[in-house]
Amino acid sequence: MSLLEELHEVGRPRPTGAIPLGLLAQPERTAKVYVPALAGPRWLGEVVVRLERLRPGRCEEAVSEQVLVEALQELMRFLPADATAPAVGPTGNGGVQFEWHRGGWDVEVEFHHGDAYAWMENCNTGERWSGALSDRLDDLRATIRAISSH
Amino acid sequence: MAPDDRDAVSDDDVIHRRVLHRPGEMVAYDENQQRWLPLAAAIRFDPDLSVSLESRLVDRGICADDVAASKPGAVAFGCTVSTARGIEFGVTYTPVTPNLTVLDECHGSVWPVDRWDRGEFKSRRNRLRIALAQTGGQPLL
Repeated sequence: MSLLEELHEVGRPRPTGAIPLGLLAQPERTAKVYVPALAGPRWLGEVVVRLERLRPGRCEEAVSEQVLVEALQELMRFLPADATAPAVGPTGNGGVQFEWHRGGWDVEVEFHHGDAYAWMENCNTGERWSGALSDRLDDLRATIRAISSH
Repeated sequence: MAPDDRDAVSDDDVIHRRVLHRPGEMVAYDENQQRWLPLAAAIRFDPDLSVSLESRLVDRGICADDVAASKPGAVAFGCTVSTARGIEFGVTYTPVTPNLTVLDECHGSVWPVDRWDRGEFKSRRNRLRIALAQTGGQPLL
């Protein structure tokens, strides 16, 4: 079962549009060809491909299915539909980390069993904040929207 | 203070961090720095960050390319020890015991400061991530 199917299973609405699920497990280069055809958030295809790589049995530092699904749910909740897709990597302690490095900002968002933590720093001005994702959701959305337009 | 050993590891030594060249997961083109860099996910402290020390590599007749070549699909990013210490990380020589490979004999550790909170740690790690582009980062052909 793919992450998107699991997302549907746990009660979240599936993104609109036909998702070529079989393609999402293929190499990123192939999947990218199909991403523009998706009707969901523009970052969704790339993120699902990257999350799929972290599933148990697919990498040395696998992340549990539950954490992957939770992370994708959280991302769908806060990330603007037109945002640039983040890099996706394991935290090393069973969590997932999303990263953006553009528009002068370095941004990291970690998810680990209910703990959602965000950190942002502007490499030009030194402006920085960090804390629980829920505390600075609007700031994070605004920053990611701004850097996505670069 | 982070664990540090200036007698065993001099400031002009170089640390090399091996990272799998997986774009979007372990490495990415950093638009801010205009170059390929390791992602924070690849700069993982548990509780230290494993690196190879160039002086020890040279003593054994090998180099950073051998660090990268020791794992298929890996690249090695590096910076001087003085740069890491300038960000307040400590650097120690920590050969793996028992020594399994020549690289294990060259093993070093980069240590964060205990009192850093989570946000401060991420800022320091980000500075180290960027500094690690001083050397290497190119996939071996």
